[in-house]
Amino acid sequence: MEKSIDHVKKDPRKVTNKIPERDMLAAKIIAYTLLGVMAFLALAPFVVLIASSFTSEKAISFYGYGFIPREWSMDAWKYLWEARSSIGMAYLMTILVTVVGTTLSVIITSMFAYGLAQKDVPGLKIIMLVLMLTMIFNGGMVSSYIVWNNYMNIGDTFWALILPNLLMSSFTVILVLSYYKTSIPGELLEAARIDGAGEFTIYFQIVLPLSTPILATIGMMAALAYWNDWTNGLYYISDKHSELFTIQQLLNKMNENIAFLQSNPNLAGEIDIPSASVRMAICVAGILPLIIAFPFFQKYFAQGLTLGSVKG
Amino acid sequence: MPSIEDATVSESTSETQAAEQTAVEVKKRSQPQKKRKRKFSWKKTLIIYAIMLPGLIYLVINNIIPMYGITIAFRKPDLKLGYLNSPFYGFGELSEYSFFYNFELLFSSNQIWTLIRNTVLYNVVFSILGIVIPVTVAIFFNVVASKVSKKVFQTAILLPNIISWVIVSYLVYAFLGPQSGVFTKMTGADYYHTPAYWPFILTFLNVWKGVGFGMVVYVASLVGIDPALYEAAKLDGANFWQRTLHITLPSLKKMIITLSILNVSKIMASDFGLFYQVTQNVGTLYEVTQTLDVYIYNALKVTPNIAASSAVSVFQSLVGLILVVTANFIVKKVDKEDAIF
Repeated sequence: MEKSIDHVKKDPRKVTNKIPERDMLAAKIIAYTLLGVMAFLALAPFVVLIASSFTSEKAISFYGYGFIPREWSMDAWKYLWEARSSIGMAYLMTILVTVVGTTLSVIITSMFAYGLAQKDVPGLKIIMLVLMLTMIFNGGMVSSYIVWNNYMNIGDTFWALILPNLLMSSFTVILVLSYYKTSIPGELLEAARIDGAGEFTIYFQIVLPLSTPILATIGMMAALAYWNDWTNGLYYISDKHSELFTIQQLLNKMNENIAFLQSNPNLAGEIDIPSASVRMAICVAGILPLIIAFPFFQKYFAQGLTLGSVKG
Repeated sequence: MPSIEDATVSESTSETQAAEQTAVEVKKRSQPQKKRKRKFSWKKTLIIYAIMLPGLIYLVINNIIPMYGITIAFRKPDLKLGYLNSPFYGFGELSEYSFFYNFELLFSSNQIWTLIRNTVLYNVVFSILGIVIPVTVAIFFNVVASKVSKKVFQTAILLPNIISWVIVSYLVYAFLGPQSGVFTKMTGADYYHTPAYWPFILTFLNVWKGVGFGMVVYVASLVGIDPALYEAAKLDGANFWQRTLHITLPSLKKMIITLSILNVSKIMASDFGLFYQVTQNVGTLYEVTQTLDVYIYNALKVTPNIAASSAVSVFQSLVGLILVVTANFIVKKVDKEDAIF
């Protein structure tokens, strides 16, 4: 006892060093526990989802959904493969919407932002003001719906999945605009103008190649938004045009049917609902590309979020 | 070719100036800057507007015309004339009505107050948890030293953020669905017909889906804290908890205040996917799950009532506008740099 007290007295530095170490250890234990629990909570539902898609229908109705298939079965995936003309169609529609939407979105946003970045063109300040106004005020869902559906007549067309609300947001325009202003040297553009390059040449040959980082970021945000979108389908595509259904809308439709059957059990048999494991298999197919790609684009995703929070 | 004209002018000036002394050279640098205020050129203006045209058209259709659409809330819906041309209440044939007839009808019902209560209360809870939990997680995330662990944790926690509410509703169904849900098997509760559970379920899901996003945002602002502060505190013998309390949290204070004020401005808006999709729009749950956005959808598409729907929609937009302007005013008072306009 005495010895250890002596030891402490003789070497006070060691004590001050030890305390931070001990509290850092505690903090680390809490950190790993907390993050471990959060990661588990984040991933667990996906495990159930994937496991259920490999479980036989009988096992699901008997044991319920679970983390491990009680009775392995590939039936759901076989069904999906056999129904590829309808479900595969929805899958293709999702891909088509994502590709077309993202491409148009990036082109239109970057061109619009390039225009706004100019200095000696009259009227741009007013456009900028209007753009800011749209950030804080909008006509609301009803008037947006009526304009697109009743006046632009895009209901039940492919464009209903592309155009409303998703194509260009004032927020992404401002992100790209601030990138043009801060990261593309004005002298370079000036030099190109001196060399006689026109605005189109400058935009396509200089500005676009230099702005790939920001375009990749907003492109990724747009792709995610289009892949996950179901509201446009819900509002603008009616059941008669199920050939325009995306995976998300197909899933939403099945949800609606299940809810309908629960409140009207006597109508069972009149509505065809895929079995639980098939529904889960469709979900897995719907998120598979995201889950596979996510670890790779996660970094850019996080960057996009950070940019957004700083500017927004 | 105005651009070539400009080029020759600036070339000749630079040639003459190059022959002069270095003192003049300083002037030369400031001259091209003055020159940037070049005279207005029709050609450039036209080209720039041509480049902007698709975006402009989109902005007008998607954002500007719908602003005019708020007048729908003051009209008597008439399909033949079109909603944007229907007659106004309080004028002409409808002069015996009040101009705000649709709103009077709306606010005389009890339902709207339930909608407002739900929307506001959920937003208050979501905002508080949406700050407390991500900040806590971000602080502990920074304690993790290994880069690999960090990446694994971040990827896992962000995953719920990138999937749609439709998929989430299937995940929820797998846990709470009748007969075969994981929790239903354990507890025997009938979740989709018991409103009492839903405030907790929806709150949990909101945190579950949003915590990764919040964490990334706060981790990014933690990076901005000067490491010298921590070093100095360590030398003074401050332990981790003291450093967190006296350095980390105060550094985040400004951002937390700004974000929470901005949350106030969104208090009438709700996440349509969460409240519509996850609850599967089940009528028995409306008392605690229906928010303004769900009502707008139901009154527009399920049981059409354009007048009520547009009145709610306009109410939401206007309150949102008033709150965002007020919030911005307050943010400006707190810190000018954080104001959004």
